[in-house]
Amino acid sequence: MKTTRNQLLAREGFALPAAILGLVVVGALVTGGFYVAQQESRISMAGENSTLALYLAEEGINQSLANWNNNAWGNLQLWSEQGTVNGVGSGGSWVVDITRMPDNLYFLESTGTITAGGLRAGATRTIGVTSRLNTIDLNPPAALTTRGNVRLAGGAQITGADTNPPGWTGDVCPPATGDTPGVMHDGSGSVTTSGTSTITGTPADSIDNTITDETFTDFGMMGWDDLVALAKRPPGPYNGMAPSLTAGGECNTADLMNWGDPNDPDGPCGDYFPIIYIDGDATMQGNSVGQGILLVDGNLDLRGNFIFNGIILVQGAFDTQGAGHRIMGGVMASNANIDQADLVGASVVQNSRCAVTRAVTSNSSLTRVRPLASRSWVDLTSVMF
Amino acid sequence: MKMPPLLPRPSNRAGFTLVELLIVAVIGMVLLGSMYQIMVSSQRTYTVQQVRIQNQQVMRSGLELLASEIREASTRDAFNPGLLTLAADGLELQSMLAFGRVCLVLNAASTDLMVRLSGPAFEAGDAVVVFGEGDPDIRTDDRHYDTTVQLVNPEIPDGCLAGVPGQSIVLAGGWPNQAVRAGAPVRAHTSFEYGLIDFGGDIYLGRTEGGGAAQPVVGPLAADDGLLFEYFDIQGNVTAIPTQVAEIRLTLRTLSQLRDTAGDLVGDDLTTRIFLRN
Repeated sequence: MKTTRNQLLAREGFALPAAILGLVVVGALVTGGFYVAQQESRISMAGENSTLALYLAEEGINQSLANWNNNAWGNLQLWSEQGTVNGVGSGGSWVVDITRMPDNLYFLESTGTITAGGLRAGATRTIGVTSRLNTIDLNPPAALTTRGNVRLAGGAQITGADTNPPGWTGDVCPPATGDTPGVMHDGSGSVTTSGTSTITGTPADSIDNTITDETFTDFGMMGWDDLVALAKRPPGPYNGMAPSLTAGGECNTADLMNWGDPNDPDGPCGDYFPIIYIDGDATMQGNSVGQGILLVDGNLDLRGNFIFNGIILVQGAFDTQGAGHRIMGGVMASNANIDQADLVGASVVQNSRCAVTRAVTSNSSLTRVRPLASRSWVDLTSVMF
Repeated sequence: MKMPPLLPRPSNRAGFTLVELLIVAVIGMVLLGSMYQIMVSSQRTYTVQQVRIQNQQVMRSGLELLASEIREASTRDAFNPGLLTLAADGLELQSMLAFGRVCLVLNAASTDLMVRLSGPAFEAGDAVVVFGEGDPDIRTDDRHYDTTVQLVNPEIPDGCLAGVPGQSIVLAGGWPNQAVRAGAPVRAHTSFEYGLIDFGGDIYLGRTEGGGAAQPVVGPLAADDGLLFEYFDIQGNVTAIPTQVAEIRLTLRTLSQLRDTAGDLVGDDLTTRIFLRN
């Protein structure tokens, strides 16, 4: 007997529908479980990435503070938000925008972004840190600050008008607007001129009764001994100081007679501002150039052509003879023995705020950028999003 | 004549004996029983895992929120400490609402200020902390002042400089003339108190703002020890003085009514160490 098509269709039972239903139910459970697990995994990973992004942002802040670029950030236009530093960290990258504010304050806004993880990348966190550039308080109040008598003769000039050094143009110096007195002294002596010598400034000379020994040894966060510890010590004689280069064409900072290059601010030694220490009296007789901070633990006598931009600190007396001297910045001579400061010949001591500032801020040992002591750190993600 | 049979003659078609059917039934029951046991066990495991994941999610969310708040709180500001009340099962702190930096000082008292915003604008009545620079050449006179916003204006596009927007605000003051200078950070804040609260019969991490009603944040947590704060100073010693806290160890613990396969209540805990940045 043959089985017909109708007989096959007419067979009754529930095994097949039950099996299909079972498969559907099991499939739905497995899919649901997988979906839930995937969601949990994504949520967990998002949390982890968020934390990692925060640490990347902090790395950006720390790197920026540790590798602070005084020349670049110190010349930013106020509030311009144009300073940017980029970096890469573990699993992502960071970008720090630096805003220069008044009073040596800076705001660093750092965004960390997760780049690893393919489609799951992209978590970002942004933090901000308000920091201050702390510098040594070494700011000569006049072209020449001293004690005792000051005598100018011949064609010597002391000028308090703020003037940028020759060749220091463009981005090197801002406009000169910081006029000072020509001579500031403690009133224990007199200031005299003869011949064609001149003292000019705002005013030409000024008395400050608060000038004491400490004026020449205490500079805020640092003192004389701290500066001496950071200085290079050329043995002398002090003739022919000039910039020198290594075989590779870089500024040879190991050369004790290389005191930087005041005549070429864009040259290899143009941004080299050493601290130079001379233990005892010094007489400079040859043609020499230099810039930075010159410390003399005795009397300083300039007798030949000597070009120097920056700060000269003398614990004894300061004298010049002959022609061709040009000091741009400020000279502070303690003159504790109340000797006479004699500036004769065609010497020029000229106030230059730019030279003073560059001598200090271009030396990383004299500047420290640090977050404010309290409430410097802010999680901007929590208020911006 | 041959009589027909009374009953139809059995066919020769094959069939199951009663014994065979019984054996099949028994085997089937055993198999079904085993499958049921497996299914029940799987269901319980799945539920327990689900609860564990949920618990961990609760704890992670709570820790992330609290860590963010605690990281920001100031302990080095002796005049206005950011940590207000320390307890083992609760913490009251200042929480930031808005942040900006003074770009212009508009009066001699340095209370009328133009502020460069980072985020939402300041609102009248906000409690704020503003940095007082004092003499820029002296660091020891720097401090923050706690005051309130008296008057605000909408942010304008060129408020600080051309192209740099700013919001003008007037503060109540309380500092010497010109103590607040351009560049000073300004923060609006409110006080949040975190602790365990009862919410619908469950215990939750709750937040109370300025003495108002507590709001649940995450939960449920373990009733007795669901939230634990431990406070340490810079040397790692336990401290109870807000201005000396340098690190907070925070533990969240969950405990559900569900039992795992070993018969224990399903619970979990997470601990994190948070170093304060301010």
